[in-house]
Amino acid sequence: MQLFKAFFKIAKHNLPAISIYFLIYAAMTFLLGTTSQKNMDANFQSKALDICVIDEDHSTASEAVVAYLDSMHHLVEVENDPAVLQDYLYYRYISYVLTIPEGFEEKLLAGNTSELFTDVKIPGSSTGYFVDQQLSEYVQTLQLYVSGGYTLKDAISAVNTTLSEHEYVTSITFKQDTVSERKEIFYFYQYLPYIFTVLLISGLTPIILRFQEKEIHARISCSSEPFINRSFQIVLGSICYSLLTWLLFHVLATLVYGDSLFSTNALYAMLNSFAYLMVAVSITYFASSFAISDNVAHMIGNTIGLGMSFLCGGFVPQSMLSEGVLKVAKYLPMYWYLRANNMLAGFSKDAFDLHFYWTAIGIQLLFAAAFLAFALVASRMRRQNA
Amino acid sequence: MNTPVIKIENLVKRYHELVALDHFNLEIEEGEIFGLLGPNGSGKTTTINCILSLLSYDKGSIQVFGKEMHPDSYDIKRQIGVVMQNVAVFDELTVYENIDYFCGLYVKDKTLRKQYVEEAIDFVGLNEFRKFYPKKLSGGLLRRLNIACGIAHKPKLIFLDEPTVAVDPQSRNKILEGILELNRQGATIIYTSHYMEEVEQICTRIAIMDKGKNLAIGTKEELKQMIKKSEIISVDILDIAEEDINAIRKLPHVYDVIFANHQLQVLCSGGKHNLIRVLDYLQSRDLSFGRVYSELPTLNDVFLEITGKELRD
Ligand SMILES: Nc1ncnc2c1ncn2[C@@H]1O[C@H](COP(=O)(O)OP(=O)(O)OP(=O)(O)O)[C@@H](O)[C@H]1O
Ligand SMILES: [Mg+2]
Repeated sequence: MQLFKAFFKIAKHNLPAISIYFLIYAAMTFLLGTTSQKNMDANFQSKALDICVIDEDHSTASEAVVAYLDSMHHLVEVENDPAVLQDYLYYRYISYVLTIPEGFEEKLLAGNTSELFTDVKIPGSSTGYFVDQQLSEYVQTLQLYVSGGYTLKDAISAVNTTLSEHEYVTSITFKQDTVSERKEIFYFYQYLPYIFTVLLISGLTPIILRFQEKEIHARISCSSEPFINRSFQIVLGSICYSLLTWLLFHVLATLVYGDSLFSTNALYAMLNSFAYLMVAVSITYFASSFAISDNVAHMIGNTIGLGMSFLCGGFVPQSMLSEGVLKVAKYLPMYWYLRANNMLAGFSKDAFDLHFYWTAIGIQLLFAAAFLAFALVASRMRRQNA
Repeated sequence: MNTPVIKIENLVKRYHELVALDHFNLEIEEGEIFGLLGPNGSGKTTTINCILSLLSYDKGSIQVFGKEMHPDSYDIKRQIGVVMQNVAVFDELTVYENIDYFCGLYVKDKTLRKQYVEEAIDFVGLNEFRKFYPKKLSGGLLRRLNIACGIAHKPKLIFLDEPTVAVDPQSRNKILEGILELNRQGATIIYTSHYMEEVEQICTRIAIMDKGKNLAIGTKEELKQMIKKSEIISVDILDIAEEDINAIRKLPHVYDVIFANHQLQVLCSGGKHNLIRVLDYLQSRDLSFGRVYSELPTLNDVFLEITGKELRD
């Protein structure tokens, strides 16, 4: 295991340059984790909101949704004019506008879950996301009954009873939930792909490159260490390095967020970050199949990390990005990571959907596989030119 | 006869249009210190890289220890040590760690390896520097580290590709002595250089190559006999008549006489007693003369005559 050992000796040597990224990130996480905690509690206190519902479907299902919301919130009548609605939102007369578009019932019965509603909420307020969750819970339970063979009418009454019983339960567990699921965790995960990209490309690439420097590579190739062993040790080294990076950040997160890191949605986010880790590793491999200097590796790491974060909504919410940007972003792995994370956090209009979650994970893994394939082709081409 | 340690037949290596090795042939016997002598770009490194299977080649065959050499001939590679033209060590590892790393690619047993590494450090005299990082070493010490990394596993066949480039005379002598010592311990050595003095000093046999071809091969004496000029006799003399010069020119083995700046130069080809014959003639003509000296040809002369150009530019 000579190469493996040398791998980590080199890593140790490069540690000071890299640890600065970690320290900054750790400091930021601690700051975020301790300051936003108080605000969150306060926000979750207000339960009954002023909501405006615009029902364009006028169907049994849409009316059931309206009735359901009415049972928990104050429904406010407002003229259906975007400018007026905007004003109401702005002055906080209402905190949520829900539009139930035509064809809602059909979509619902067909089992569609995405874009059933359109909604507008007060920007930056977390209460609106709360309504999102109630709505998606309602719709999903309804769909469950319908797919189980209930007629729409029976399904609605069944849902109303289960949810009202359930309501009692959730209002008790609700308090625990605020403790055990904290939104800042998802902010932590939101910036994580940036830091992974930078740390791996500018930290791992120089180590891999060291073994590929022409003279050293020649010397290693002349030795009696079989090719397959050599490659295996480098790959193993890279995997350990990446896993350690991932673990380190999760140890940090456990220190800041405690148990809440292991609440259901946070666990999904954790797995999501692992998928992105694979992407970052494979981009690193791709980068290191070119003979670049350490400085260039740092530059590439930062450029890709920052660029992808800006384009894909790592630094600004995806909902604020223009259509054009999003169109491009769809071809980048971080977009899918962030969409899954936003969905888990309730930062976006996407209702929680496991199918979408696994799709996002799958797309990231495909990106990882593609970069790995590029890396293999690139290094083969390099060897032929040597 | 023993099987040669290395046998190269009709090796052709092209880099796109450029023919780096042109039907190159070579045989090296066990126990030799074999010198590959050639100017920059003549194909020395290319030859070594082909032997080591670092490069693929277009034609010909290469056998090492009597077996065809392939990239996965690990049993053969186990017995080979390589010191590359450019220093190849990890800047992030210390002297000791570097040697241990490269030795460990061959020697898995930890205690044996420790012993080998210690011996290698002693051998190149880097004991005081074992904890140093390569960046802190002078050029000469760095070269010695480079050598230690290549030979720590006690190979039977060692390639040294210009190990003394840019090295101070003290380190250079140390390196050359070391090579002789490795040879005494039983290693066969292939040494490339364009410093002919070094090659003359240590090599038992020499091949002169240029433009990818093996132009001449033999011991240094054999090589020197291949060329016409074998002795230059210089005599400081005030003046000498044209007829005397012509008479000297007619002496046996003399093929040219030059007189300039009060110095007479007599170029002889082979044969013995040339000096005595010249001096006898001068005395018989009652010509008084000053300093007299005789120079034997160098490999540079050999090179000059074979290739028509100086070894070093
Ligand atoms: N990778 C390569 N691609 C193209 N041409 C090359 C390559 N490597 C070497 N050459 C060419 O092949 C020829 C032989 O080079 P080689 O390095 O074997 O010479 P050398 O005798 O070792 O020279 P030096 O004394 O400078 O080390 C040179 O003309 C060189 O330019
Ligand atoms: Mg060379």
